[in-house]
Amino acid sequence: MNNPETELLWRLRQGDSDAFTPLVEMYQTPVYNLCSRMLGNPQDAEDAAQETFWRAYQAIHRYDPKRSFATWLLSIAAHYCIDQQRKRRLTTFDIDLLPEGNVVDHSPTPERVISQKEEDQIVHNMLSKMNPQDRAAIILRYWYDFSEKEISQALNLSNSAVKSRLFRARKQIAKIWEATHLNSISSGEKQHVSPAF
Amino acid sequence: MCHQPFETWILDEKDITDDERIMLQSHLDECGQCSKLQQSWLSARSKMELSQMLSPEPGFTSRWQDNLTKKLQEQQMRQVFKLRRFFLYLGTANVLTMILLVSFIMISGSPVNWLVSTLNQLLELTVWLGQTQHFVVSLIQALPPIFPITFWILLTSGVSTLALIWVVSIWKISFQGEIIK
Repeated sequence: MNNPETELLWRLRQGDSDAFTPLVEMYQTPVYNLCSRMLGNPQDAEDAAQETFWRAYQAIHRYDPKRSFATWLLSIAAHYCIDQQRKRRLTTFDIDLLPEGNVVDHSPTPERVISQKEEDQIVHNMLSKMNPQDRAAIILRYWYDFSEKEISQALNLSNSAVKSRLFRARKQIAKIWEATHLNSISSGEKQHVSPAF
Repeated sequence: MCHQPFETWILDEKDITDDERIMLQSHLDECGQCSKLQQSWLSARSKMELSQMLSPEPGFTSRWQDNLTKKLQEQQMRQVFKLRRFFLYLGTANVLTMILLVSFIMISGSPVNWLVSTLNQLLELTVWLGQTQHFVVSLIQALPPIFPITFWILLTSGVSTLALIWVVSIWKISFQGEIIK
């Protein structure tokens, strides 16, 4: 039993509840990232991540070892966040959520007035405009590299439903990106237009 | 202009054949809408793929452990309250039943007649218990002595001890909230 995760899961099935804490340590970032992307608020994401681990702890005896633990855990997180979104029907976005280290230094040009951080904000704004299940599918696909089959398992959807959701979501993202960049470039041009013109 | 199947080829992320690739490129050269769609989608996808994983504030695991302890305590207290509520309902139901019974007896007939009838029944019960005891003793005396009397004493003591432990455990769980490990 070389894989530490496999050993921890084996110990859990034997009744050693202390083996769950190392799993929390291993998966806190993936779970938190999913909750953050879904809910858009650090405090809500923290609460959702804690609740996800609590639910997983209670349901560990129902976990099927043949299935990937990461998929099972992220499935719990996704379902919880989708329920929360449906209750709230409103997404708030905190700009402080964006990581400072992600800023890329480009030489400013008239066509590139949008900073990296603002582009990250655009990504989050795009996600916030989607319905919760589409959002979950996109996040699992592009942040976790889940296949369509894994997404269908995680979200309890058929393969065809996942395909159509991803297609619709990609089209929506492309339209929002295009509209946002057109608006930004237009406003940028207006700001930099000399009164002489 | 028809934009299918070109939109599907742009957005579906499936491998397309060389012929399809040529058709798509030819369409993109002519269709500004699909060309913008492709550029926007590729830019947005690149942005998403380059976005970092967001991490929680330091100390997440400690907070989880504190939350776990708190939730387990709450769960235990809920179980204790449920058990107490059950016994309370049972006790209340018993008391109400007794009150109703006594009221019925008082209303339906003379209390003196009821008392005499009850005493008669108790007397019959005593006689029956005596006869049962005589029957059991006769049966035991009639059986071949397979096991010595010591065995029976030990067996009876063991069963009584287990019953006592069970009663004490139930009492401790319901009134003191302890779980015996």
